[in-house]
Amino acid sequence: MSQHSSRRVVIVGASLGGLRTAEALRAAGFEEPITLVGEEPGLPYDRPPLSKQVLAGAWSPDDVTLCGKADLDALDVDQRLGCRATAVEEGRVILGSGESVPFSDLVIATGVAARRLPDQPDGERIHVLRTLDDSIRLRDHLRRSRSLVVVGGGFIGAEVAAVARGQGLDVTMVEVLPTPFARALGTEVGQRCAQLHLDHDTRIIVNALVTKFEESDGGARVTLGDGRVLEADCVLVGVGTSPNTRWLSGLGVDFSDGVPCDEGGRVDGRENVFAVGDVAAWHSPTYGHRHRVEHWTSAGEQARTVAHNLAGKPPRRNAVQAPYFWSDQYGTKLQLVGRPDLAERVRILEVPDKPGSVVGTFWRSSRIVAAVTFGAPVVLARYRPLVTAMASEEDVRATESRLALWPVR
Amino acid sequence: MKLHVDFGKCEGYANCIIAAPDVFSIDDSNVVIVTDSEPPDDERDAVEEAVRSCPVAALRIEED
Repeated sequence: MSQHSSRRVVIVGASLGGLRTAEALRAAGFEEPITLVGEEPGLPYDRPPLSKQVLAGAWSPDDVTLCGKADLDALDVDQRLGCRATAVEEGRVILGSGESVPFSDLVIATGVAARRLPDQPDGERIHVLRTLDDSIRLRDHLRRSRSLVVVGGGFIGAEVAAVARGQGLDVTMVEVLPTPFARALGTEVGQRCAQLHLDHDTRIIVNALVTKFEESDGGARVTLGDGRVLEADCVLVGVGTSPNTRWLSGLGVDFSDGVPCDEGGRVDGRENVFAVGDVAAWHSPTYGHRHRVEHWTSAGEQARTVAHNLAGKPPRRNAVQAPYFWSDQYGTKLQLVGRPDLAERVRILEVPDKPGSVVGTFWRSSRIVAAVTFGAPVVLARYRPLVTAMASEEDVRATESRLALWPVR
Repeated sequence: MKLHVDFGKCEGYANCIIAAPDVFSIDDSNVVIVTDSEPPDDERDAVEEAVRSCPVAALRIEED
């Protein structure tokens, strides 16, 4: 490695997107200095198990490391773990310690933070779930709790509810909309997902705004807009995320919904700044607009594309695969490809010989834009290429008839 | 390229099938089936994606 190199790639964020970018740069033969800045002191870790296996106590925290110490050292990167980036100025990143790290190229991989509700206390009994520490704290609290209130009918809340029911807790989910999971899955499929929870004796309260949180030694109280009060030993607030962009104000870009990037991950108007993972809003040639994708598989794909572009290979845009996401709820695997948010209508089909397994397909002007399966992973695999290609109704029906899927109605 | 699967780890996420549908399948108890344990080289990208995307790291490629 050159001692007098003019290049240094600084990657800020040492979770999936940041780590994979460093790995992909080395794999692409990039030999110049790399600095990896991460806010948390430990080794990079994987987040999906935090609301699943780690929370249930099936896996230890060591089971979720993305990269062992020896492998990280072998990448030959300047590791700044336990360092928070507080600002970016022309050509350098400022750390919480006041130190400044110069870069020739910057990769923004700072992810998202769990959103909090107004006046949500940061106490012993009221949790959010984003980091490994959050997961361990919630895991330990669930073990000594008899009841849980989940605020927010989204996937994090759903997975926590399922784990807690599995441990025999009394669980109530509170959702502000008329149907839980509707933001991610639409009303019809959201209702199917809600039914999974009702079937496992999780209570669901809809159309309910939380107006007040209180906690004492005896328990937590959640007050709803209509005056109802829910009492529980433990509360989990899962109401979405917000991109960690505050430290980037020095770049002078509009970060109102993530870091705007072109289809190769380059930040708008910045030749030498890239962004990957949950924080990044890449332009999608398929959908014709920018959007953030908070999915595990997307972070890895984007990291490889950015590394390729940084390593000076011919410019490449992202592999245009439909976004893919999975969730575990009560032993049922829910898997999703595509963009249900773009859909105008939905069809629900049954999977033969698999009671309770269903497919939801999402349509926009006779093109398929998303598919979701409950307990039918092999079926989902067949939909991914169709969703990626936004296939026509005719093509989709041909596949469905081969799979012997039957419309529910 | 040879595929090694740790069946004890597999939890049936099927991310491998999403990535490489011609190499992997899944049985009725949701455990992975390798339909081609020595996949051809033109499947390499798909198989590498499958290995990377396994949430429980149950897959490994052994080079010949």
